[in-house]
Amino acid sequence: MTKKSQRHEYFLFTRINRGDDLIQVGSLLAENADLAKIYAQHIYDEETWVEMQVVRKDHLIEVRLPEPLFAKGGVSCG
Amino acid sequence: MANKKNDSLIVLAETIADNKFITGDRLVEIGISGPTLEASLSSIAMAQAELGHARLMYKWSNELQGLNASKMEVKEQTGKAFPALVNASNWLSLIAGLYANNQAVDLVIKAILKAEPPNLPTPFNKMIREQQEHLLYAKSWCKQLLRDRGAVPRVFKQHLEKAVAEVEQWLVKVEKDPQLQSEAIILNNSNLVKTFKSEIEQLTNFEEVQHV
Repeated sequence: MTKKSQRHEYFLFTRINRGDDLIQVGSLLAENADLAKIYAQHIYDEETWVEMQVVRKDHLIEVRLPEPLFAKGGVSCG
Repeated sequence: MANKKNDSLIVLAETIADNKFITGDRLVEIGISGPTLEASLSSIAMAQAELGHARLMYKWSNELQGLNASKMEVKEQTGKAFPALVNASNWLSLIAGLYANNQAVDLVIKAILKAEPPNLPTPFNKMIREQQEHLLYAKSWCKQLLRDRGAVPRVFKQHLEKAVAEVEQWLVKVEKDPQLQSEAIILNNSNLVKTFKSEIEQLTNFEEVQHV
């Protein structure tokens, strides 16, 4: 039915109580921001969070990434 | 409170309750095999809320009839649910029914709240809030299905048209009901049908814009 390529990965950040750290508790796949918000509320309902934020993974701005443990390799053809 | 004056309002409450009851049932039956895991989980969560809304509306209806609402047991609908929703058997018909029904119920409940009828309890705040979420879910899925590939958009449009036609018929009845108007439950200028049509037009025009 729906093309998989239309879906984006969203990270979910929550705060349990006022003053707590905003921490990433999980991720989900959604077709748009509206559905991401609804899915987040329905899937991650194990706590009564005071704050929930979703952000599209590809909207994060890289500052630093871990060094790769192994060099990128591939199988050469021919 | 139980008197002839309430007949139309009782029918209205039961119609909303029946449709919520069936929506809850269909969201579980069909939603469990939804197109994505997230959509299925949400569908089940919304089913619980829809059944809660149904219970609230049945309770309201019982109170209007002067019956004991606390000893109420809901086993089946009273026969006022829309056939498109009752017969929903796949994701496309479920989403079409969910959207059309929730859009109409939202308009009717807001019209009642706006009219502020005297001596009528209107315990709908939580329901309105949850319903907005369901509406957003249904609308988002409608948009996706309208721009999907293959036969999906065409078949979905057929389901949507069927669901919309049934809901519109009901809205015409509600809007023109002399009892609801004389009791100032639905005001003359509520424009239920006009607003509903405009919402549907916006949804389907969105799709035309996407194709340009």
